[in-house]
Amino acid sequence: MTGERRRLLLEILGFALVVALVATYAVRRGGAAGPARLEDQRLLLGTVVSVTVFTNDSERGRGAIEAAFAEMERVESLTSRHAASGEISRINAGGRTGDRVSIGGELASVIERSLHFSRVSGGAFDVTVAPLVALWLGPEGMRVPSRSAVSAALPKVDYTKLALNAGAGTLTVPLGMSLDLDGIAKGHAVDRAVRALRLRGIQSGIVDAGGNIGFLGAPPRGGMWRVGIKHPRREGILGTLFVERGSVATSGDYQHFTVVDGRRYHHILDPKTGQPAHGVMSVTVVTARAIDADALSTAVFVLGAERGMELIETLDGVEGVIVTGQDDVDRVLVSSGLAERFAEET
Amino acid sequence: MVLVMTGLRRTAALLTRADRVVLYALVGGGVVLLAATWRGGAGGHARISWPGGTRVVRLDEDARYDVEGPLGVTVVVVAGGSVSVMSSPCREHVCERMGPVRNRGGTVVCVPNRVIVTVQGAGGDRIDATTR
Repeated sequence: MTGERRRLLLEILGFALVVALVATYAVRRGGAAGPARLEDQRLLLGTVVSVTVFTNDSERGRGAIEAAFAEMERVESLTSRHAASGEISRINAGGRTGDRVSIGGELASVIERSLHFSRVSGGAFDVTVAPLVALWLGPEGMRVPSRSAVSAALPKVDYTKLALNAGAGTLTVPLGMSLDLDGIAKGHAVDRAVRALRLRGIQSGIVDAGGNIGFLGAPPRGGMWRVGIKHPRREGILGTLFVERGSVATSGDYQHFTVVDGRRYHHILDPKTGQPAHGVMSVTVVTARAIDADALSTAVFVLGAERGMELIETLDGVEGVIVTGQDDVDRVLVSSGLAERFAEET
Repeated sequence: MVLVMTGLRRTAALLTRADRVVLYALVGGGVVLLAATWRGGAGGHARISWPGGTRVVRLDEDARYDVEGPLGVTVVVVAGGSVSVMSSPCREHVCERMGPVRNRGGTVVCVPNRVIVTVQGAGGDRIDATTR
């Protein structure tokens, strides 16, 4: 073999080796050629909210993140029972007198959506649950109220007694009743934040409000978003969901709870009994809109495994994972549309 | 596989000692480069944020971090690849009961002391977010 041919061969080998090294290096660095990941997190809506965008325009990305947080702050002040000057406080003040109050269009649409899910779930989700929440969740956290206190509060919980006229922008809250939007507000905030990112030209991003997650576009690597579902009793995840777009939300009995005399009392209340719903550990719902996922995860949790899965299967564009058990996972029910999109940890 | 091995053997036979030195130098340099990036890229990390600032910590190095919040010191501990709140001056100590987290998106938060610990990760993470 001539020296020239040998040099050529060596150059080819060397080039191939360099290409392999560079490719391996890029993979190890997480695909450095793709858009950069920008992320920020804040305490909002009573939880940790993180906003992530994937873009090579850092100025645009930072601006979009700020806009998303600003939008969620606005939603929080709109929907919080604790904001003295907020619209919900004014509505609940109306409930103290039974007066009809005027409400803005955005809040009317959120309440309208709440009432929709109250109807489809047969009252398992109820926006008038506030009197019960006040008994179970005090300023110092979860507590167990007396049976008599719960019995006295139950007549004040009935969504069918609300009179909403969204067109006219009015709502009548019967005497003694009050609203609690905590079961749907985070989802609405996530939807608005995702919209804020889109309006600022972001094509790929994640808004995560304490596990209520909204996805914008597709992940920069392509394919589907990979969402871990927290294990309800142990460290780590129960399994991984693969979703192309939309939103995911989870309601679990481990989020706010207290143990009294060996019994676990959590914050997801059955509006019909006034007690924490039993039999289910966690419910994860996948829908197009985060507001729907938020409300439905609570509704399905209260309905229980069988009736809850029935509801999921009857609703278009809704999928879910229901985990049953008490001290450890008993069963994991997966809706038909997720059969090939949920991988349980082994 | 047999064809590849045969090809490599024939190619090796064509190389002079100088050729081999150059090749070995390329391979050796590559191994060193990958070893350097492997350690930095493989391990996840956690972001600890509090009203006074932010700190990113490695999850592959056991350590204790004292974080000063408005109520006092929250002690964040990294052990065995997980991060958790060991103690905090809040009333209910919910953060201490949250347990350790290790996957990207896993969060431990002390709301009263305004301390947030979130697991972030390297490019090789299996998940994009965690619903909880």
